[in-house]
Amino acid sequence: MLQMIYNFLESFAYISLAALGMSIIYGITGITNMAQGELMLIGAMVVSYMCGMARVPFIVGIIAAMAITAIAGIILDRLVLTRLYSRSEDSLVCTYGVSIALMQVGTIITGTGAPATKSPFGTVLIGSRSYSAYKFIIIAVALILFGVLYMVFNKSRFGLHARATMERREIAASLGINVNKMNILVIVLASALGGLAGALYAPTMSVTGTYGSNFLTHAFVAMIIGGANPLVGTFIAALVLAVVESVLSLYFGAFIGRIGMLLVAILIIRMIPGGFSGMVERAMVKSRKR
Amino acid sequence: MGNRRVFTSENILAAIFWLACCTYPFLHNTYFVNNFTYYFIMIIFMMSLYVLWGFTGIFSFGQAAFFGAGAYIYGIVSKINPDNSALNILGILMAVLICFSAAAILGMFIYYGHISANFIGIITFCLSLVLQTFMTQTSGPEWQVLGVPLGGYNGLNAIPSISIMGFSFEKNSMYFLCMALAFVFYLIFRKMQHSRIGYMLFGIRENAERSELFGYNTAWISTLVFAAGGAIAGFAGVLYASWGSYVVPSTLGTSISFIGVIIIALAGRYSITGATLFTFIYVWFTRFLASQGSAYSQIVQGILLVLIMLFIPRGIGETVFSLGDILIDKLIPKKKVKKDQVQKEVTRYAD
Repeated sequence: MLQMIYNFLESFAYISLAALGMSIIYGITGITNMAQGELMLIGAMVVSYMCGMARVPFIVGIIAAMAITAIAGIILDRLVLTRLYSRSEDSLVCTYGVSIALMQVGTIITGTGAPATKSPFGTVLIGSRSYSAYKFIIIAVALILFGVLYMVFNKSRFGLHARATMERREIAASLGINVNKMNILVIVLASALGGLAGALYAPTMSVTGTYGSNFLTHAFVAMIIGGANPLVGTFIAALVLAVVESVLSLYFGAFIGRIGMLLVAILIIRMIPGGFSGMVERAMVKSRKR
Repeated sequence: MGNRRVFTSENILAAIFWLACCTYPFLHNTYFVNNFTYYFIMIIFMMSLYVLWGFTGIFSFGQAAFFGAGAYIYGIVSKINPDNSALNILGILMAVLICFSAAAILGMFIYYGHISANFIGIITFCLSLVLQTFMTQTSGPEWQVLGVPLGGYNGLNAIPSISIMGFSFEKNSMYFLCMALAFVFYLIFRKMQHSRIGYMLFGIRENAERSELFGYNTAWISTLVFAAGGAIAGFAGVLYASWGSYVVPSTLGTSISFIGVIIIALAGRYSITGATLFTFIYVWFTRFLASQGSAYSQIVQGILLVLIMLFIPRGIGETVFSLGDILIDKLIPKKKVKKDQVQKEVTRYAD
């Protein structure tokens, strides 16, 4: 039972960290960013080289990773994404080109794998089993992240503007919100989140050129069934997918878990149009009418 | 529509290409001919994507899933008993049918679920990824279908070539078979561009909502097109398995889908001739790069894709053809036609 809860939480953290950046970009700018995985790769590489080779403290490595991916995000936005805001359906192909090129650059730099970072904090004994303490940190970070982002989006001025842009782009612009500035801010935020996620998982996986694509399936599936609202949707989607994946993998192995997740996702989109955020929205409208 | 010209640059280039293809085997040895066959298989595979993306505006990132599935199904069925050529034909039929119905079911979920167009690419991408990882881990002896082990990372080997009525297609005959098939597909889609069906699909591509208001059942049509695309990709997979006599899990993977997408994007989504010629050029070029052992080829391809999508969204093929047409217009002064037309215009205005 304990094992199952642990698996569930681990899977939840993995899915939500992978999906958050991507669904924020999709939700607010309408762009499907395939290169998000490569932003995570950059984050992981920064941590690997700084902490694995140069022995910089892990926390410093993570902050540096976030800063560098944020800069990478700005460059990506200036060079490519700015031209895509008006035709978001082409963004998938275009960012996939970016992703392929960056993936190969990553492969050339890391070769068979970047220097390994030691998983910090050792292990914890719960009952008779030992768990990696680091995984608990990741889970905590994922939960805290949802809290922080919720505050940012619902309590701050930036969040208000971001939500306005998400709802009606033109009207938000006509009310004096600088929509283009909003786009850049959102990309920076999402890139930094990608860098954070990539950096966090760097000690647990081998960092090679295809590091980022490990996250892609999870991120995509969560994004699809999450729907338009990046926070609520991703949160519920990660919860549901984590249940499906942890239960299936425990009994049938990781591959069946992944396939099951995909099938459940396809079923969910069929049953709940607009994904989970659509469902929540309808429920809220209903409760308000009473 | 009625007096479309014959000597457009598109037609001229296409004629040169297909004639060159016809004479190629007589001028080169079997090794080169066998290599060339691969281009036709890729052209057929690419056409499956062209029908989806170019005609109907459906963006599929997982065509390789159907391509690989077709190859696997043909391999498995024909390997049950390599000496029995009836199984061979059964394998082809099964591959096409299964790919068709799998794509139809997936399409049904996509189109009747009203999934946004962006997500179709993602779903098919995930499908292809999952299939690839699944096939890679099928190495143990417990993974076999009808007595044929799936082989995991090494895939299926020694797949018998297609044979009909005791005649097995290999080397030169396989070349002509693939060329003929590619040409037939080319003609069909070329014709379709100016047919009712073609216009209906274009309508869905340009504005699905409007087409629906005109009384077209867009969900059903899109599902059918998606299924047809899957079937064509599966058929190309059959040819591939028969040609190379092996299938590996990466055949199902995203890198092959990527090749399809990049070709269509480069060539132009609205020109079947451009796409055909570009498949040939591109596959030749990447093979050349790969034979040079360059690690940078993927970087070049990625950047190329980005640049084309950003600055020439209609693709190189169309741009070249329209420039070529202007050139031809200048080279061949049109006397009679123009005079007639002017005369007609004048009389019309006079009336």
